[in-house]
Amino acid sequence: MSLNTKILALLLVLAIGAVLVYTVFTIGTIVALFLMSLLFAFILAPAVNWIEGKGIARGIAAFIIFSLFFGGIAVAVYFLSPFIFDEVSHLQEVISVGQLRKGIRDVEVFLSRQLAFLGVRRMQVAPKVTEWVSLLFDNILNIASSLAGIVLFAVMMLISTFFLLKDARNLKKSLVEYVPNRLFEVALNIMHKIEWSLGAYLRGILVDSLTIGIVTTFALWLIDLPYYFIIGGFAAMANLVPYLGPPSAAFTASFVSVVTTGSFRQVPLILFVFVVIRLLDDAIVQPLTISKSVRLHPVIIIFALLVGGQLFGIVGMFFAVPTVGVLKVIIGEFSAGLQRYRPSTEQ
Amino acid sequence: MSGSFVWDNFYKKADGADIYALLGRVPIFDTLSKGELKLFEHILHRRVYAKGEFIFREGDTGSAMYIIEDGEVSLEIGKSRQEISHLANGDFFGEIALFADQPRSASALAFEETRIFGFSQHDLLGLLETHPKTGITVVMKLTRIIADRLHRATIENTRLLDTLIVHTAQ
Repeated sequence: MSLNTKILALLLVLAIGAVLVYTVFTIGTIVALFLMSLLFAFILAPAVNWIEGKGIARGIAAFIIFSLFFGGIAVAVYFLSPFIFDEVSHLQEVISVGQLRKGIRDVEVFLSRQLAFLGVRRMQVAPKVTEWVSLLFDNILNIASSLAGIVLFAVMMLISTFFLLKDARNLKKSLVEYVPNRLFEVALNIMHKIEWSLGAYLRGILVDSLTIGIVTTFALWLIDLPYYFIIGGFAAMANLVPYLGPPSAAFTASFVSVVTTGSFRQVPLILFVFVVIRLLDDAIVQPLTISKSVRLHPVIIIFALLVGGQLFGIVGMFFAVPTVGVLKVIIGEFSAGLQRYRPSTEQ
Repeated sequence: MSGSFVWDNFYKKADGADIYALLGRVPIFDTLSKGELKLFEHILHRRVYAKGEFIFREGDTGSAMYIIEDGEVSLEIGKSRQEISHLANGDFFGEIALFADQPRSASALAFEETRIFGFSQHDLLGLLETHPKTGITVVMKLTRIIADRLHRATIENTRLLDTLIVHTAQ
């Protein structure tokens, strides 16, 4: 392949990337809906295949798995939501009665005393932090107030997930029809590798996060930290974002401890618990769940997280690793395909 | 929904009856029932190649097998592009790629405008996962055909070796 062809190919990839980013920004909700459906379809596809392998029609197999998975989530939400709402409203109450201000002021006093040799006297952190926290609760209330929109989004997502599960093969065939002949086998390989690595990563990280959530909740309950249940839930969700998620869960737990107890007494124990859970996750859970799925260098993952976070916030950070995993497969297969490529006809 | 352009195209079946008739004539599928052929049809990708267009080239890493629906395909080897086989409707080629990640041993090009069905190793593995009985029947048939070709190649090799020994002795 000549240098000009390489430059042209690079420019084409950049142009496609720019169009994609622009499109995602323009029709964000629809893209988010499609991505969420695709995500659930990837996670559930092997279970549907397994049931289909038992001689049951694909549509019925999809319906069974779909009902079990989302029905299970609905039941869990039904039974756990009163408990969660109770903890959230209690926490909000604690913070609003001024304990938050007091807690932060205590921290300020402690740090000012420790850092006196640097000339630090008064930090004025309390007003800013209370402002951030009240903004956070306002956002939660805003989300709750747009419940109708969320329900509509969820219903649309459930419908498209079901049809993706049921008709994935036909959709794949339709997509392949648009691929030029010389890239036919490359396209089939790309689709298979994306299906395999992305599916494995998503299923792996889901199981990993669930495990981390359960272990964290149990450990925080053992050390008698208040609101252990919602912090455990937050740890599970934060775990979906590699590298940055676990420290933010540890920080949240320490923050809640300082605010509610007014002292740093529990913080070393909390940090110790999170370090032990992290080590167990790295040594035991992750090798069993997400290893070998998306092999990416840590620097690339962190860069992807930063770009994803900058463009689409938390959602962008969650989709960063799968997106880079998909790009890696496409670039790898295309570069191998282009290296082999010669004009399609020869006289 | 019939009569609706959108739905007719969304759920279009590519000349269903013709596909089953064609597949039924291919040795790999000749023992499959119509229901099983229908399952197999799900993994087939229809491609159209112009006259002289390469389907794959010698040395490429292959991953798909092809069945000729309508047209002719020439299998060629070497820089001199010596034709080693000329295939027509119902014939199939590239089956080794389903089992081994080896470079293609020959180039395949359309001798005229040709319609073919292709399916990949991954498609076949998917079929084995969702419909093991049908998948295994196809794999066993393929294995028999490859074993038969290997057997004939071994006999041919032995015959050539004997001829060479006789010529060397003379």
